[in-house]
Amino acid sequence: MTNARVFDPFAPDAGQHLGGAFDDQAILEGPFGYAVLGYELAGAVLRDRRFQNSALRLMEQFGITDGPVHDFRARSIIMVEGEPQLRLRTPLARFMSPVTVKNTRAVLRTIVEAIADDLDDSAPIEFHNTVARRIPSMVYCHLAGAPMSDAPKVQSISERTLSLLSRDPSLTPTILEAYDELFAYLDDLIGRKREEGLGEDMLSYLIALGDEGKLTELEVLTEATSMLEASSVNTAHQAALVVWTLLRDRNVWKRLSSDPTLIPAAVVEALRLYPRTGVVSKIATEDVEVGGVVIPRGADVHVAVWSANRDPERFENPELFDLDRERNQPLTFSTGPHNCLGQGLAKAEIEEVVGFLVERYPNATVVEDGTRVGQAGGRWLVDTLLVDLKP
Amino acid sequence: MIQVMVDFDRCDANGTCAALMPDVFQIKADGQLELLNAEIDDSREGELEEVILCCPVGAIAHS
Ligand code: HEM
Repeated sequence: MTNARVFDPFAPDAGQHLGGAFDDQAILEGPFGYAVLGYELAGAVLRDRRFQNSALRLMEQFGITDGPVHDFRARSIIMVEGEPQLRLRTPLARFMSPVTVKNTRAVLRTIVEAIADDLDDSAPIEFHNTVARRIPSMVYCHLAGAPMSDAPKVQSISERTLSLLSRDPSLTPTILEAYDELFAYLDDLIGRKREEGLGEDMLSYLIALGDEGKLTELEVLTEATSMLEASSVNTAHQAALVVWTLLRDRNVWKRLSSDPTLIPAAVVEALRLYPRTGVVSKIATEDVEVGGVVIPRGADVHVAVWSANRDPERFENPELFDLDRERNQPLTFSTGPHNCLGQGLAKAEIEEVVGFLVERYPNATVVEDGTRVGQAGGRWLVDTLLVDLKP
Repeated sequence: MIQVMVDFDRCDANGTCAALMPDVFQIKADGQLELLNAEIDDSREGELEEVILCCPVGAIAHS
């Protein structure tokens, strides 16, 4: 490729690229491998089964090359394709499709209200820790039929396992320890559930499928592990990012207050502009041509979701928050065969938080001093989000 | 007969539907979804319900 300028999709200043193609190139090569910057090519790569998730390679680069954690990753839903993936996907899908999530709304509302009851709204609150971080793990406990008192443990495990994505090899011992804790926690939870008798929850359903011989015991554990690690940390950050976005656009916030039916569209638009999962990394399992470039087998391909979501070829005035976009399909939850299984649930969680704020605290504002939101390695992160609920 | 409906503005080409009912839904070579049959026999309502339940974006419905 004849790209003279170096562009790194993980560099801290990556955010200065507005989005879409860079120097007219929707795919670039660099020391990191390949980066896909345009929306159309990004979707094509994510839908193409010849690209496999790079999570296993990342683990190996962290020195985790064998043992139970490596083996779990190798057989987990994100790594397998075709029939084996479907066997893992459909039993979970029924618990988080938009159709089922409708029935979960009441539970979500109770969770949000329980958290809100603990809040002291007389002074600004740190929203990420006191609200956003607490919700997803409680939702997981509901899904898994675990006691709500397990939620802090679930949250902490999810955060530590997924810290792999920060690409910092010094975290290896932390990650291994977190998975050990995760496996032990699930073993214990499954044991407790068997003793108490199975219920209507997702974990009971998986255990029952195991008993009927439709899933192996190992598959049951693999499923439950994937769900736990994926459930919490991204959802917490994304919820805080959405609240941060919506509260700072006062015109939008006013529209939401007067018409809460606009909340789902507002959430999607905020997900487009500030994707927590800003880069989805894959590996070519064979030589694949993408946008005129032949990607050799084994190469790293980083789909820059943050750039694709702001591609001017796909989204008019991409940098603007527009509540009325039609066909708004950002790639924040990826697309294609491995798209986020939890997206219906995650969106519902975030919608409930926003709905609660709009209803109970319509005048809430972000206190800029004391709020730290940024981008690292293409991923949007919330460090602190200070919100004055009753200014 | 049951009418099968896909909202293509929502469809994310996840393909679970195509794996579960390959004679009705198909992922084309470009990775996008194609509806092969917009009508199915009443006896297959259960199968279609499962497909609707498993669609991560709620893009499938029936009459
Ligand atoms: C806003 C929060 C979330 C974001 C931004 C997010 C993002 C993503 C992305 C980008 C992928 C695809 C990776 C790829 O293409 O290889 C993914 C996959 C997945 N997500 Fe999420 N996710 C979120 C919340 C959740 C929740 C709450 C759950 C479960 C309760 C969940 C479960 C999963 C699972 C199981 C997969 C693997 C699907 C497969 O490989 O077939 N996610 N997620």
